[in-house]
Amino acid sequence: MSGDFGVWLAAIATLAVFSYLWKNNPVFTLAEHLFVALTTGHLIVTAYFNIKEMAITPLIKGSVLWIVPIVLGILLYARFWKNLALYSRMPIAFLVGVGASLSVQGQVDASLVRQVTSTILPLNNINNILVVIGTVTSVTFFFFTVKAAKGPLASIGTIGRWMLMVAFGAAYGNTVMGRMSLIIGRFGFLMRDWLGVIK
Amino acid sequence: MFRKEIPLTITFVSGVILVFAWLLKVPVLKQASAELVRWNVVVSAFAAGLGGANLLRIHYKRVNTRKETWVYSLILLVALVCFVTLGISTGLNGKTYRYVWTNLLTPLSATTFSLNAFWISSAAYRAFRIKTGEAAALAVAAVLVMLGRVGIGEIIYAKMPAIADWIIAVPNTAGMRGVTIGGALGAVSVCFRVVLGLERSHFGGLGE
Amino acid sequence: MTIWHKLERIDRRILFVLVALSVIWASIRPMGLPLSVSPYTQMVFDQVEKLPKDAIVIMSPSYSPGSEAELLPQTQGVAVHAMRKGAKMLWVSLTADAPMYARKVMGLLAAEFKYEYGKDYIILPYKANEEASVSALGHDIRAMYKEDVDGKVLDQLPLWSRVKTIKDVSLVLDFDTGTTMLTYIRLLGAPHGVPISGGGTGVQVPTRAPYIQGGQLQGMLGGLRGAAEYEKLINVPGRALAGMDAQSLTHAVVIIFIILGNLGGWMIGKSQKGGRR
Repeated sequence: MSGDFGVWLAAIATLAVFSYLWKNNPVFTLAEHLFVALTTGHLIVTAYFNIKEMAITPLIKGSVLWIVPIVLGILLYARFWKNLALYSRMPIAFLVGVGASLSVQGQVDASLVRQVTSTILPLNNINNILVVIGTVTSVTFFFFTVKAAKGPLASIGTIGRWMLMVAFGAAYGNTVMGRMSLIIGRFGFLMRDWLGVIK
Repeated sequence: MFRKEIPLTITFVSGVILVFAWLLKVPVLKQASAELVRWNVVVSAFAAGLGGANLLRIHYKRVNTRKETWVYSLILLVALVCFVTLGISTGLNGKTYRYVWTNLLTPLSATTFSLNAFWISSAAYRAFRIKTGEAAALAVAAVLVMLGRVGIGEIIYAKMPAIADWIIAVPNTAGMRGVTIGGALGAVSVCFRVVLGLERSHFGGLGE
Repeated sequence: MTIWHKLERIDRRILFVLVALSVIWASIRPMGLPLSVSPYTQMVFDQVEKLPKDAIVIMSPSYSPGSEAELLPQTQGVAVHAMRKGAKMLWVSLTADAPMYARKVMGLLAAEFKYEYGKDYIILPYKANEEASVSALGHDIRAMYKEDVDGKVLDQLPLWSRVKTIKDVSLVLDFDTGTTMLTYIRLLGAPHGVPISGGGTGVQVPTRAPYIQGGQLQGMLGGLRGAAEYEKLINVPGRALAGMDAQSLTHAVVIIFIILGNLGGWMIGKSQKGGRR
């Protein structure tokens, strides 16, 4: 068993959260509140240093333009006062405007054009044929789900739906794998680092 | 003006500068675009603090009005303020800060997320009912991938990992590509609507 | 209540106990189950293997403690491999916890590989908004970063003098639980031609597969399994490999319960239909 106080603290925190599996209880509620406090606190600290390094330090050194994002950032907090809330629209407008344009840049090339060109494959083996048919039918399913109730588009859409079911099944299988890894990690900590029953 | 015209102008101008900088490769536009993007990082950092501010507001109210769980709210507030003060004064590399991050924050966070393993097992058992052909396709793919990703699957059938890899690489790629292309088209259209001011839901009811 | 009704309504706490017991059992009594390496993991390995000595790589641990169990072993495995190749590392932080993980990994490995801070690796500070940060990184990395995570001026660090533009980076290795890998692909890979690779949680592998097939992503480690495969490839058995037997048993438990639940449901439906006739 570990003699390190930090490991014991971590083990107690772990067991406090696991206690929820039996039923909700005050120990879990305390752990939950601590988790929220520390996670939020960590985010605030890292954001503080981000702002200090990128904006405040250059501003102090003479780059006056940095006052603009600092003011916009502070205006975000105007939402907490009813009579000042409308000023918080400006930083939101800025965030959304830049965010939307960056998103367009990324999506058009990588998620649209290159995905379409990657589907243009030589139909000389079954895998390529399946990828081409699967992609075309799933896109058709998305575009014409509502409108096409019967006819050839409906049949194409049906094939697309089956492809999507297989894709979601694969996603589900991987999700189970991912989630199980998390408890393997926690139990590994309890048994290895805390109790010392495994190496 | 501050309710509609100025915010829509800010969205339009910032959006247009970035899009034209991407399309036209004019040096002045590229410089302006790069500056706007760096400003965006700073404003986003301020936004990260909004969650904390809201948390403070809600829990302070609970403590003040002595609501049912006010003691937990008090502990939350004290922990939040102490942790932030510690972080800002000693830095992210401060010995005590790292100690709290490693021995409290990490196990609390990791264990909370690990509860998902139990929920997904419970959900798989209760909700995964095969009643149609498509559900069967989903189930078969899921089971083959689950078996293919572990040693037991390889013992049952030596080619199980290859089957799982094939499912991911071929039918899954096709289906997910459809999702990606559809999603990208939707995202591009929403983005243009936002920049042109046709979409305003991101303002919510602020200042109404 | 028939046995089929009981099968359909097993108390979920029994399932929880079985899942927990299978993890504990497999950890105490390892079974040594086989582990083959998937093509996607091999692709990541090959990318790192072909790095020339002194190549600059971006290591980007974009996760939080909630996903540490899957992604920290991946990060460590790939970092070991990269350091064996003599690669120089820029640790980029797109999540609040990234600098902590960068320190954790280098704290474990720097002494072993005689890596010196500032000369062989630099930890860059957290930047909010991953899209804006990655875009800025691509356009002008030196304008984006002036100080390191501890406030040291970057221009005083020898490794930083080699980083003029993003094209000086040979490979980006991102370990992601959200969208950072896609952001790197969209805003660094596509416009600047920087190869992107790395790892993610198991759930992300299916969504990244189209990008791997399209050549935009050079392979990907998938969850704890991916980390275990990588540990096997670099011949450094660690926690990921140790966890694979437990992974097998828990999957078996879930599959058995899916079968039991459906069996119960089918038999009840069948008997109800028979009764109606």
